[in-house]
Amino acid sequence: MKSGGSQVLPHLPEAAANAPIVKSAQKRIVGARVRAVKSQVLLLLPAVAVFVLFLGLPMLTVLNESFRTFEPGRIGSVEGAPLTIENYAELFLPVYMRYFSQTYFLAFCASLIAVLIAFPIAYFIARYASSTMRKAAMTLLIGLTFLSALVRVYALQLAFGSVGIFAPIMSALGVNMNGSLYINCVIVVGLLHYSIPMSILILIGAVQQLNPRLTEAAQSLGASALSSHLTVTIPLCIRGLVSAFLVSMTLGISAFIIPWILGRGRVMFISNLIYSRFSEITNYPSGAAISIVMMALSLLLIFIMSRLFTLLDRT
Amino acid sequence: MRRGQADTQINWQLHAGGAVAILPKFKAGWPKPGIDLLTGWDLSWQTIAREGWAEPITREKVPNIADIPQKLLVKDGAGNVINIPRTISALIWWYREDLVPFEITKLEDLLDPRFKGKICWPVPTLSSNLQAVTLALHKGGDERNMEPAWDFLKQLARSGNIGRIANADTDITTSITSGETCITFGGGTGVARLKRDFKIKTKHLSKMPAQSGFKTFVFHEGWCVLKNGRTDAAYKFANFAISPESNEQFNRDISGIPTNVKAKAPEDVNYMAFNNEEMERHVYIPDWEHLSKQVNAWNKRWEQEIQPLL
Repeated sequence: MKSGGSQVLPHLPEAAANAPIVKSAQKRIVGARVRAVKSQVLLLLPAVAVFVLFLGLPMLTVLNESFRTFEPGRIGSVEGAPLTIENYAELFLPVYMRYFSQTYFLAFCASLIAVLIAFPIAYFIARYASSTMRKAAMTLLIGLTFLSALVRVYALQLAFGSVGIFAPIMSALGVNMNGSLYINCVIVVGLLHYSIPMSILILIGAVQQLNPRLTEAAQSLGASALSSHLTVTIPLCIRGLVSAFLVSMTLGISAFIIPWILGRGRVMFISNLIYSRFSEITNYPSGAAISIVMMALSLLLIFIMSRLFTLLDRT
Repeated sequence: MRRGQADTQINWQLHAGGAVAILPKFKAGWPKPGIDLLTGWDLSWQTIAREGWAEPITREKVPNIADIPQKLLVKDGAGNVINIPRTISALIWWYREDLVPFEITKLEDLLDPRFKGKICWPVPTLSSNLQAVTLALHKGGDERNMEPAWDFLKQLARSGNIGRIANADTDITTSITSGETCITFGGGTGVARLKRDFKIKTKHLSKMPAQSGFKTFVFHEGWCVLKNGRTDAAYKFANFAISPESNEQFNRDISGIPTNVKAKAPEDVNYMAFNNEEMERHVYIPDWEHLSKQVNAWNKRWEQEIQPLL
């Protein structure tokens, strides 16, 4: 739309712009723009309605609940409960900030590792794998996403738990399987179970869109394989890498069953805190405040990643 | 039993988590809970009574309630009975005999370094935090003075002996049966089932000497008829369920003690059956109403002071 007549016409000399034929052309263009905007709005309307109805309104309810006073022994806030900021103030206690930082840190580690592992695999599948192998890999990766969360988590528990099949090896290596470091590592492994297949699927698309001749051109001009990879391939795939990282982060920070089972209940993610508030102690106001803060932090993370992406994007 | 239920058509709904975990769903849908007859226990009755969700239970509507001890009946603010007791059970300390490094005789044994990672500790929302009330009672406190319990718990958390924090009964089952941990606190009926199904050797600390510090908490489970549902059918089924024959059969299957005085208790749950003298010596009946109001504060205290030490 921008490159059409609407941009040319304003630069016409005044006399020419006032000519009847030009005016009618202007009207036609404006009419066309209005029609286009109308059709865009109509097309967007169902999606906007769904978002408002199923996301916006419930979130407003959660926001309202987060400012209410909770009366112990009741379920949620009672009708007309007084307003308070206590539910938010409580989250500034160092211990709750620790829960937030722990969740985001472990999710960050898992996302970073996932992207580092996924990229070479995705590159291999997209560039070097035969058609049959590519199909098999895609089937395997998509199949993995259908695997029950509980099956994966208990499989890891049976393998890496304190009485798991690897326990004798870990003990022989002097690993303290009761220590928090080990438990955190097992949680990261649990998160990788989800984020690696997802990242590979995202990155395959990114690598396939990359023109291989650009790398070849860089190498023919004297760049080494490593240098061309770092200066051409990676920057041109940055959109896919950021997407894979963000999806992995989303899976990580919202993980619930992984810290619950693999963390042996000793590691608490924000999702576990929210569940406990809503379901076990029925303190909706506090649960709502944690949810709102978690959402704000996630939006901030997306903003930072978008800025980073803008800085690094060369496409 | 089968003949008695031949004309019943019940859509059973299972929910995960503690008994209170289902209540938020009612709140969201109230006045239409979508459930006619709800199972629960001493603690959840308190919350339901406060919310005013239960239909009154009378001898006219549930005739078999006449055979249930009056002491088990819970009343709401208006003085109406709201529960139909079905099973008497106990929250007890117990351990796997084949996995403990030595015989446990007192609460302080839990701090022994040989128990590193071997204790399965339920979160405060499980069993109404009575596991911590045990510690309080042992150290001179009670459910209204929990400071001694928090101090003991801090020591326990620092010791590294807590290997698993159970968020649900299933965590206790998997942790204990897999051998990850060997001592815990929980419902006595569950222990009997694990013993029977997994063939594990268990020792129950339900009748320990006073100086040991181990206390037992007797509670009851049962039914509650919710308002705005098919109340007549719910009353009818609940009455059938607590009849002497049904109550006896049901409790034999789940290893519980029947509430109907005309029903016989199964033999494999002797560790949960107490005569008057034993009740006095080993059992503590907490103030359930007080407990139901403390869950929020205790859970936050756990998050703020104990969880970071684990």
